[in-house]
Amino acid sequence: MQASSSANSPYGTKTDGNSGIIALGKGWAYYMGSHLTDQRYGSLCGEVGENRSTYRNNSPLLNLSSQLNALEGFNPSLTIDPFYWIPQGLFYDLKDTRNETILTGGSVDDAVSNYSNSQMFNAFGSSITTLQGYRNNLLLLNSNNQATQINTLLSSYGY
Amino acid sequence: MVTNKYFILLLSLSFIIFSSSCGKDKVFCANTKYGFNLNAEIDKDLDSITTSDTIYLKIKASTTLIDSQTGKEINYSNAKNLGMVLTLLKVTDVNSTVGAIKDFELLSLKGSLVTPVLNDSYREFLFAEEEQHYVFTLGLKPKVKGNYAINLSDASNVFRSNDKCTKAFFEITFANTDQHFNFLKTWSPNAILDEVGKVRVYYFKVY
Repeated sequence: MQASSSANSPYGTKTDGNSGIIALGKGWAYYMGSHLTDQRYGSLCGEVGENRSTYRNNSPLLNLSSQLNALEGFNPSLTIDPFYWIPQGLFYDLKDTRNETILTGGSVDDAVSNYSNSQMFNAFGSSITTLQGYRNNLLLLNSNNQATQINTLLSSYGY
Repeated sequence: MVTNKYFILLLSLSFIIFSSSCGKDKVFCANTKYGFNLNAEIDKDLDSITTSDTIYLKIKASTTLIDSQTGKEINYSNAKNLGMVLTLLKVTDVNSTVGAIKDFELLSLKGSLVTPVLNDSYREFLFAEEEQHYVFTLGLKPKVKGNYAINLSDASNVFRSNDKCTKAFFEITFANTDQHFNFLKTWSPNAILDEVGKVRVYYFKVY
């Protein structure tokens, strides 16, 4: 489904020329914004009202703040969402130990775990303008740690 | 090397600042204003069916909905992209599943299939709107025997034909349906189904 330009504002579509760097920048922004809010406020986090309503502390997942629940709830297979191509949950998936597909058929096959914020941030660079480029650099800098699982995870996100 | 990394940082920072202050700005249409809940049911929710049976996944909800954040009634009719991803899995052993779309004939009675589709595990559907209600009815007619799971997704960044900027999030969960969690005890005895799964997954057997 091709949504109209205003529905896709301000990020455009996955096929636009700069979509790779927008997906990286926005994906990191979603993660870091949620991570820092979770670190600072934890169980005092309010409901996530921007872009991902209805997530609350401990709901749907126990022991996760509303911020982290929102990251885990992102579904990249829903292409009728005009922003489905921005990988909102990717960086948290590189870090956490939960696999969304186990028993529930969730759309993200996340068998990756324990990548740190510094490892993830260090994989950005001047030549990294696509998710595929980011993946390659992340693996290069980390001795191909969990390479198969990372490829599967990126595939779940459509990259 | 440094330049692009700081571009990413700048982009991230600008997003955080921008998104926290401009929900009313029509130029910036990425924020979600409303959150709604939709209930899905299975008719008939038998734990076991034969290959000659058909079960129906149904959703029917008024286009005037309660916003989960404010508790106010909102007329959110004319949604352009309200729908969901339906995942169908075959449980092959206690620890693994495979995509099972091809194991079923899917009968889209109300709502429509989003194309193209190149995946064995899921299909994406749009809901229909009729008489001030959002409706969706999908028949699932099994072709082969096995143990199966159906999973529903939420609907994010939903917009309307007459207002593409004001986005809504729809949480879609099962209600009034026996989801047959008892199957897990034999299919995956050591598994613990988390809260995401409990409201979005439906187990059944085809014999």
